[in-house]
Amino acid sequence: MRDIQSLIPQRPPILMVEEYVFDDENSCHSLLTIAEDNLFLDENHHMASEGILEHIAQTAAAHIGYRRKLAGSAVNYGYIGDIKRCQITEPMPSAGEQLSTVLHIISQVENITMISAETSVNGHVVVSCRMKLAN
Amino acid sequence: MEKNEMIEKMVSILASEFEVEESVITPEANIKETMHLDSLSLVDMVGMVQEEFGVTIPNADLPSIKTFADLYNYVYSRL
Repeated sequence: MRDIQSLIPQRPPILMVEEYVFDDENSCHSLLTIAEDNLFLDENHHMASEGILEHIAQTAAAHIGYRRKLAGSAVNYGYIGDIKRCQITEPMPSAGEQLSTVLHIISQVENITMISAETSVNGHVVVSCRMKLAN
Repeated sequence: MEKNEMIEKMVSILASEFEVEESVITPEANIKETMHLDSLSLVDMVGMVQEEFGVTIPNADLPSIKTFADLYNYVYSRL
């Protein structure tokens, strides 16, 4: 799904998901090709880990939003509750490379959703974490 | 898995995950008060049960799970 902007509030230049794919109720994947002018690139044109965490958070928000759409509810906006078990493996990706994220919902209680996610570049995991989102 | 075995495993995981002494996790103790759970951390407990025991706790069932005994009975009956 490329109409990502109907699912999350972020807009360029802070939009960090290019393509979102619904796999099932509890999982999805997403892609982002890192543009030369991405706000999260450092002076050496490497992506900051915060940028990848933002990409994961937007993927999760898109999935939650898409599920709400499927259920006939309005898409609402949320925020990150916390991040745990975060592992970052250098080197970080550069402009022109593509982030590929696989995300699973672990549990959901009322408006709090806990997810696990892995972001890979060229088949190598660069960031994995658990994240809680409130929406 | 025997019920006692399940309880031992659950107590060990809960104590570690929520940083409380195993001795305070008694069957009659209130879960939220004992582990200082708020809405943000309740999802951790539900996630732990899902991951470790393969049991999903729907939102509608949460109000009926007040004590650890309630939780043990709920999970064991669905293993």
